[in-house]
Amino acid sequence: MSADDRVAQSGRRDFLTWGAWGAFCAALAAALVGVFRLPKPSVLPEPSLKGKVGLPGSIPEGEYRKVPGRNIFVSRGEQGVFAISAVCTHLGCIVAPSPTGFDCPCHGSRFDAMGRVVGGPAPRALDWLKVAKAPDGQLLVDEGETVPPGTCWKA
Amino acid sequence: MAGALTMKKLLLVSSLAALGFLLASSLSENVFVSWKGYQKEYARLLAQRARTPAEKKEALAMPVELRQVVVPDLGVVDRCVTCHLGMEDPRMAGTANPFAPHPGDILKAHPPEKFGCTICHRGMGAAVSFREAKAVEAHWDYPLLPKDLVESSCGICHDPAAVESRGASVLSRGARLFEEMGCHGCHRLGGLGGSLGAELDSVGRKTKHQLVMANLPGEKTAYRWLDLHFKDPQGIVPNSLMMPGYPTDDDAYALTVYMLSLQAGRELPDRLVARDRHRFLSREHDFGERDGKTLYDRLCRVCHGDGTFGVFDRFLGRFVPAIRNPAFLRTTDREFLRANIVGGRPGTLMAGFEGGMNDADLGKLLDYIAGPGNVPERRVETAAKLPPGNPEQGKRIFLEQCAGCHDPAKGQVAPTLSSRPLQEKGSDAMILKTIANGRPGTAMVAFTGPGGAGLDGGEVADLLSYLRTLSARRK
Amino acid sequence: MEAWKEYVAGVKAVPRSVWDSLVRHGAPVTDRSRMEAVFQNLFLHIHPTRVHRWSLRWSSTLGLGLICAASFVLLVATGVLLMFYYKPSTLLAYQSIQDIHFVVPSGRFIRNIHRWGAHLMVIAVIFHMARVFYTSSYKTPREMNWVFGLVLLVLTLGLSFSGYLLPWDQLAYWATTIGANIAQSPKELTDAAGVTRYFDPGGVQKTLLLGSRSVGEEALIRFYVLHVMVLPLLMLLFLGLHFWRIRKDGGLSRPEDADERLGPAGEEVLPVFTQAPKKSYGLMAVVRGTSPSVGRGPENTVPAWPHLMTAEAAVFMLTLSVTVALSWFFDAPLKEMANPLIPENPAKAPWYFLGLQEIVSFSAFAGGVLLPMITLLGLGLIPYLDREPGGVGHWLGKGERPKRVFLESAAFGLGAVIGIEAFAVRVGWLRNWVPEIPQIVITFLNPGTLLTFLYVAFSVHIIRRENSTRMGGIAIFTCFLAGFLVLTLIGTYFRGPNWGFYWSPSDWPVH
Repeated sequence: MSADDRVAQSGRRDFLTWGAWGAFCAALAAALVGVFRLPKPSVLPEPSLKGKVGLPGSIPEGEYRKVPGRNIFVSRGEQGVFAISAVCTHLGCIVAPSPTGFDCPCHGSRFDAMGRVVGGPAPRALDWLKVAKAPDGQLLVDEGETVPPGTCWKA
Repeated sequence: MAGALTMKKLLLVSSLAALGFLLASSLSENVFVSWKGYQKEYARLLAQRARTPAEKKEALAMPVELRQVVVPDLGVVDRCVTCHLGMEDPRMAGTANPFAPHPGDILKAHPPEKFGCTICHRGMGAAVSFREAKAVEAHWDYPLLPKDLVESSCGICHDPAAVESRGASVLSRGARLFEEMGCHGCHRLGGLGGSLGAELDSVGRKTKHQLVMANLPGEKTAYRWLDLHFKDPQGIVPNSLMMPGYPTDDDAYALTVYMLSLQAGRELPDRLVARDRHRFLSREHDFGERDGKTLYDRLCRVCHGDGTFGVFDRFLGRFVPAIRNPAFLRTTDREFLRANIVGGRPGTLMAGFEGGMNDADLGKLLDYIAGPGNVPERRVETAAKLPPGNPEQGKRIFLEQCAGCHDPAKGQVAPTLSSRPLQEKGSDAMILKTIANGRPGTAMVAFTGPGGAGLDGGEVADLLSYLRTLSARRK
Repeated sequence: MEAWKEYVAGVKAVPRSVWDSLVRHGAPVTDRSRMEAVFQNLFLHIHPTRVHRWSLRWSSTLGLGLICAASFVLLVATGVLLMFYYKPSTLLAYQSIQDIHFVVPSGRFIRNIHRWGAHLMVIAVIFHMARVFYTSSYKTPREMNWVFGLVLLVLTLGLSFSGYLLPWDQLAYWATTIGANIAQSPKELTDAAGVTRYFDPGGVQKTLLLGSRSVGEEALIRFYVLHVMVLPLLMLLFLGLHFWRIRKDGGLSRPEDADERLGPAGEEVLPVFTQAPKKSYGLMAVVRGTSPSVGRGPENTVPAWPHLMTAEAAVFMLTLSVTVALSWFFDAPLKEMANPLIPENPAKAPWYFLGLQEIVSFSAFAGGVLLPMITLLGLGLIPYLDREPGGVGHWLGKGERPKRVFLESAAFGLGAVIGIEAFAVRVGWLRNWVPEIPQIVITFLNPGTLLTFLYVAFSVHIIRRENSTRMGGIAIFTCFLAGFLVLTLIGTYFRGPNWGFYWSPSDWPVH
C-alpha cells in the first residue's frame, strides 16, 4: 500500500466517520422533532369556542344577557348586536355585571358598561367578540376572535 | 473484532434507515392525510359558490385544521365534522359527500353541538379517516349505521309512535309489526312476553361478539345479522327455535330498525330523552288499548292460532293445544289455565310467562280465553266415584290406545300428559271427561260410549291411575 | 483601563471559557484525551476507558445486552411521551388511547414504537440470557451479575405485563384477568388442604394486585403506578448494578486465549500510550479476580472513545431502526373497549406468558407459580452449581463434546415437549379419564410438571454420563429453552376458542 493510498483511505474513513455520526445525529434530531411535536395537541378537548346565541330578534336591547354556560354577555345597541367577553383582562377571573358596568371579584378591576377600564389593575378593556350569522340564521359568537370595541353586527 | 470500519458502516446504515422511517412517518402524518385534502376541496367548492367577494375571501381563508363536536355530558367527541364541513351550510346543497348538507331539517331540533353525530349514526367518532370512522373492520362495538337504518336511533329517546310522521315511519312500523306478529309470545320486551326467546330490552346494544356470526355471509355486523336472521333464522343460527320465514324484506328491515332502537340501560342525560319516551316506557312498549284480545294476539296467537280447533303445526311438528276449544273450556277451570300460562308446559315449547305479564293482564287474557261461556275459578268435581284403578293395566291401555299421539318416545304430536300443570292443576274430572267425550274440533276423539274406542269404566279408571303416575314429581 | 480590556476580552472569550469549564480535556484526538472523554463524563464513565478488542467482536455478544438497554431507553422516552395524553381511568383510558391513535401528533407512531419496542426488549432479554449462558459468562466472578440479570428479566416481564392492561381494551382486560387469577392460584393448594378460609395467600396476592375482586378502576391505577413508577425505578437500579458489576467483574467475559486468537491489532487500533505498564497492584486489590492486564500489557485494548461509543451508537440505531420500521408497517393492536360481560375467546395472555398459559390450562398453580418459581430458582442457582472453570467466552466451550450435548439436549427437549403436548392434545389428560379426580393430583401431575421432571432427569443423566456439571447445565438450560419455545408457539398459534387445539385460526369455529 502506497502512502497515497493510505491517505486516500484515511480520507474515506474520515468521511465515513463524519457521515455515520452525522446520520446518527440527524436521526436523533428527527426523532426529537417528533418528541417535541407530540405535547402540542392538534385539537383541544374542549367544546368549540364558537357557539350560537340565538336568533337576532332574541337579543335584549339596552341590557346585557349572560349566555348560559359561556362567559359571554350579549346585547343589542343602536349599532346592532355585540358581544363582550366576561373574562377580566387582568388575570382571567370572570367579571360580574354591576349597576355601572362590570366588576371583577378577584383584584377589584372595574369596567364601564362598554367594557372600558374605570378602575383597578386591568390593563385594557374587556374583549369585544366577533358576532356573525350562521347559515341557519342564528347569531354565532366566536370567543376565539376579538374585534375592536364598538364593532357590532348589523342585519 | 468487528472492524471499526464495519461498526461505522452499521451506524451509518441503521441511522439512515431510522431517519428514513421517521421522515416517512412525519410525511404520512402531516402531508398525505385524507382530511386535509377534503378541507382544501371544500374551501375550493365553497369559494365557487360564494355570492359575494367577501364570502369568497372567507372561504379561501378557511384554516386547515381538525374540527370536532364536543358534548361533555354525553361523553362525545365527534370529529366527523373535520370532513363533513358543509353539514349545516345550505350553500353546499347538491354537492357530494362528505360536503353535502345534512338531509332533512333534523339538525334544527338536534343541533350537533348538543347531540354530536355518533348518537344517531354510531361509528367511531374519534377517528379522522373514513375507514376508521366507519369501524366495520376496526375493533369497535358499534360500526357506522347504513343510512336507511339511522332512524332506529330516534327510538333511543322517542316513542316510535310519536315520531311516525316525523321521519321515523319505518321505526314505528317495526314496533307495530313486533306487536302484531306475536313476537311477545316468545320474547320479553318491556316486561311483557314469554321466556323462550332472548329478552330484547337492550338488543340494540348487542355487539357482534354477542351474536352467532359463523353463518353470516359478508360483513359481520350486528345490523346485518338482525336483518338476515329475521329472513332465515335457522340459516343464521342452526337449531334456532324462531319461527322461520314469515317477514318480507320490508318487514325484516322495519323489525331490524326497531331492534336497533332497543337500548335499555343506556345512560343518557335527561335533557335528551323526550317526554313521549317516558310515556312510552310507562305503557310498557304498547300500542293502543291493551285488552284481552290484543294480549291473546300478541302472546298466544303465534302458536295457538285462533285456538278453537286443534291444528297441526308443521314447524313445531305437533298439534298445538286448542286452548279456546269450547269442549276444553267446558271441562277446565281458570286455575288450570292460569297454571299453564304462568308455569308453561315443561318439555314443550310452551314456556311459562311468569314475570312476563302483570296480574291485570293475566286476568284480561283469561277472560278472553274463557270467552262468553262460564269457566269457573275452580270446577267442582261432579263425576261419579270410580273404582280404584290398576296402573299396570292402565299402562297397557295407554300403550295401545294413546301412545300413538301422546307418547314422548314415539314422536309425540299431542299434548304432554306428564307436565306439571296438568298433573297438579288438572282435575280427574277434566281428564275423564276428555277421555270419554274427546275434544270435538281437535284430533282427540272419544274413547268411550257409542262411536268411541270402547273403553269401559274400569279401563278408564286404570288409565287415569296410570296417567297420574306420570307426574314428574312422583317419578 | 487594563481591567476594562480584560473585561472585554473576557466577554469575548465567554463561549470558549464556558466550553472549557464544561469539557476539561481537549478534543479526543490523543489517547489520553480520549480516555478522559470517557472518564470525566458522568454519563460515559459507566464505560471503561479502554475496552478489550474481544468485547467488540460481533460474535462475542451479538450486541444483545446493548439491544436490551437501547430498547429500554426507547421505551422510557416513548412511555413518558404517552403519559402526556394517557388517562388512567376506566372511563377515559380507552378514549385517550384512541385519541393518541387518531389525533395526537406523532402519537400513533410513538405508541407503536412503545408496543413493538416492548416486545423486542422481551425477546432481546431472553436471547441475551441465552448468550451469557452458552458462553459460560456466568462463571466466577460473574455469578451475582447473572442473578441481577434474572432480576432484570423478571422486571422486564413485569413491566410488559403491567403495561398490557393500560389501553383498557378487551385484549388488556382479559389478559390481566387471567394474570390476576394466576396470582390467586396458590388457592389450589390451600383448597386441597381445606385451609383457604384461614390462610389464603393466593387471595391476598390477587387482592394486592387488583385492589378489588375483579379488574377495574383500582387495578388500573395500580398497574399504572407499577408500570410508570415502581418497576422502571427498580429497573434503573438493577440496570445500574448490572452495568457496574460488568466493570467490577473485569469487563465482558472472554476466553483466556483471546489475545492469541485476535492476532495483531489492525491499523484502525490507535496506539496505546504505554507498552509496558507497571503492574497495577492498587487496582488489583480493588477488582476481584485476576486482573486482565497482568503480564500482557493493555496492547489488545482500544480506547472506549470512539470504538465502544461507535459500537453502542450503531446498536442503538439498529434497535431504533428496527422498531421504527415495525411501527411504520404495523399498528399496535387496540381491540374493543374492555367489557367485563363478554370474555374474549380465546383470552390469551401476552405471548411470552403463553407457554405458561399452556400449562395453566391444566393447573393454574403449576403453570402460574410452581414452574416459574422452579425455573427462576434453577436459573439463579446455575452459577453456584456449575463451578467448573474454563470455557468462558467460547460459544458452548471448547471441543466437540458441548456441541454434541447441546444437540442431544435440544433433540430431547423438543421431543419431550412435543411428545407430551401431542399426547395431551390427542389423548387427553387425567381429568378426561377420571372426571372426579381431585385438582391437587393434577396440580402436581400435569404436562408441565412431567416435562420438568423429564428435563431434570435428563440433565442428571448427562451430569453422570459426561462427569461434568457444565454439560448438565447445558442440558437443562437447552431443554427448558426448547420447552419454552414449543409451548409458546403452541399457545400462540395453535390454541383457539376454549383453549382447543387448532392447526390454523381458519379452523376456529366462529362463535
